[in-house]
Amino acid sequence: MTTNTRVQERTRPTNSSPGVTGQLDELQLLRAAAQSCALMRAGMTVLSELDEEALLTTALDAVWSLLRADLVAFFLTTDQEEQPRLRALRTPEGSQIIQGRDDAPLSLPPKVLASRVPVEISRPWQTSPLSRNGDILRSVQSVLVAPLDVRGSHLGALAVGKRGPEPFRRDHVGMLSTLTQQVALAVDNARRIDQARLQERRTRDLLDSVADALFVVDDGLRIVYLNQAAAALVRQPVDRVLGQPVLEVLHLLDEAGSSTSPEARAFPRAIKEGRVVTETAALALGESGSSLPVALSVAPVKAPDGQAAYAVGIIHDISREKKIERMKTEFVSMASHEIRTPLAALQGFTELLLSRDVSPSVQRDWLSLMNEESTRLATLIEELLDLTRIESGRMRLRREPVSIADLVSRVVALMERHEKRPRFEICVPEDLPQVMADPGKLTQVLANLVSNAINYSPPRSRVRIRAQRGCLAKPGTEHLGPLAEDGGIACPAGISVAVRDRGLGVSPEDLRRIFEPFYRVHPAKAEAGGAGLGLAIAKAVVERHGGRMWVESSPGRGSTFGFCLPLDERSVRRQDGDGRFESRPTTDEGAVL
Amino acid sequence: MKTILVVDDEPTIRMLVAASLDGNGYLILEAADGAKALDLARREQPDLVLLDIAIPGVDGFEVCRRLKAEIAPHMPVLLLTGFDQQSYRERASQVGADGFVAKPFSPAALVALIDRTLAAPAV
Repeated sequence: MTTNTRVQERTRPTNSSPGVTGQLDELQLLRAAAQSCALMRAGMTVLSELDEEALLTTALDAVWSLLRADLVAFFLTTDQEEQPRLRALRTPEGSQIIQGRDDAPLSLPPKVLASRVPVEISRPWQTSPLSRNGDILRSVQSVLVAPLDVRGSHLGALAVGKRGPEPFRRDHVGMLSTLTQQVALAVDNARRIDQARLQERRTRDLLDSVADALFVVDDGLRIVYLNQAAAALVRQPVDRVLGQPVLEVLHLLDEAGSSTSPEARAFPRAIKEGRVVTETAALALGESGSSLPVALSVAPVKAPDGQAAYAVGIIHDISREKKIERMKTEFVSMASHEIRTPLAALQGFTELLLSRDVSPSVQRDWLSLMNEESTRLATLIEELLDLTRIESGRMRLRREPVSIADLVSRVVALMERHEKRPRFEICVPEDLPQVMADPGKLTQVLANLVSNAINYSPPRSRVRIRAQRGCLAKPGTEHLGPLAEDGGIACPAGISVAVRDRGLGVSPEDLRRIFEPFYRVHPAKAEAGGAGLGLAIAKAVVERHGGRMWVESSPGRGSTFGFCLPLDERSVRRQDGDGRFESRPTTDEGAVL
Repeated sequence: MKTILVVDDEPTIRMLVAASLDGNGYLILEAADGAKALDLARREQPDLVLLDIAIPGVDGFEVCRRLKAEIAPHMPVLLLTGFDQQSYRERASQVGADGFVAKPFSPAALVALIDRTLAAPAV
């Protein structure tokens, strides 16, 4: 009843001709009711659209038919622009959504668009700023511009044009104001939804770009979200995992590989205890029986009542850390083993010497054994210290120009007295430039390669030492030795030195590990002696010089171990370039200029 | 006279063990690798084997397992090693070793252990 009265009140001025009959009144009332229904329907339709373009199209049609308009136009602000611009237009030719910023077929004065109350413009083509609009406005007699305001902000305006000479009726103004409110509300809603979607997509992209696996579970431990890395980790599509209990999706075992009670796991504990819980575990991968060492960190997300409503779990693959840890343990274990053996001899023979009466000749034998073992122990400790110094980056290089020819003859002089009487074949060009290197360390490297060549060959074998500019490693050699693991470092264009023997050679399996500390090619272990640190140290020293080490070998046919060192640019220029530079006529430079 | 097989790839350790046992009335056999040790054990049937774990070829654990399973289940085996870790001790008992000697060791203590092991009634 109230509604009717209000409609009537609002519509009364439009039929204010005196002496109206009751019949006419009733007709007016019916018309108003029908209008009101149509208006409500239009409003509902507009409001039900969640997409801005779709709702504008719907609104264009609603206004067009409700007001019997000849022109409908929506001017809207955007995120970037506060000045409303034409966004949707309906003319007798049809509707269009305007995307671009330029060449809008219709514009209205900014003052009109900014108005917070309806503005009516009669004969708009006569108003000077509007005359530019040409054909579109020429056909309409008056334009009513109503503001699109919602929740205190101004989104733009709706302009309605009519061709007929009579001005807008009051009920039209009323309808228009109702419609604009609804359109403004719908546009605002659509924009907020858009904003929320954008925000959600950004958050999703952000979480998907996290390298670690991320699971969100509810307080019932069911997965409500997982990122790409998490789906990859469990090797299942996202939608198959959503809603599943997290402890069924993630098969977590303790580090020894056996399963523990579910209550002990980080996810339930984080929910129950309401605090961040971390654990390291083994994540079982599929049916294969293999597992991945992981570190879990689960944080509760608390609801306003303080209870954990969700938990966010991050799973980090720690296989690299585990591998390093294992290597360290292995290193320490090997080092202590290598130290214990000579120590056993020293301690054992000392005890025997102190507790027994033995002949002077036996005493002498034991003492000389002890002497050998203490030398071995000292060498080993020195090597261990070297290796740890290099690995912790504390090894200092005393670089100076080093002649490779001098280096080779120094090492050969040292090794010629070896009991196996090796025969050396040396091939070092005289004009080889010097390298900037630590001479002592480089001697150690070459001596190690040469002594290996002798030790792993029969007596009186030939050992060839070659040096040259550029790389001596054959193509494909990069795949041998440990450097291939990190993608293969390009051979520095510099000087290569290679030591070739005709000895036992190394099997492909051994080749892969030959530069590892303590690794020894087994059958030859006793014969060659040493703790198996020489090559590891040599490789580290060469790499510290910016060079790389390589090996090629086949069992029974001998091995070639080599290294290349980068050339110091200044030393190359000094040695290669000087002569040429001096002989160059000075006019050359002038000619170029 | 009882026979003891000493297996170690380090000649110095073999000499030390031999010197420690010298004068105690044992006959010493020596081997430097796993294959040789198994061969000698099969042929000579020693009364006790003192076995280093880190030997070339077949390692000490495997030699011990085969000795117990294939050659002489009651032949006492003492494992000798520079790896003094719990995991090694556990594996030693898994393969049936009768004792574990960590390097460095006292010759007198080693002799005492060998005497004791040989005196114990075979299980």
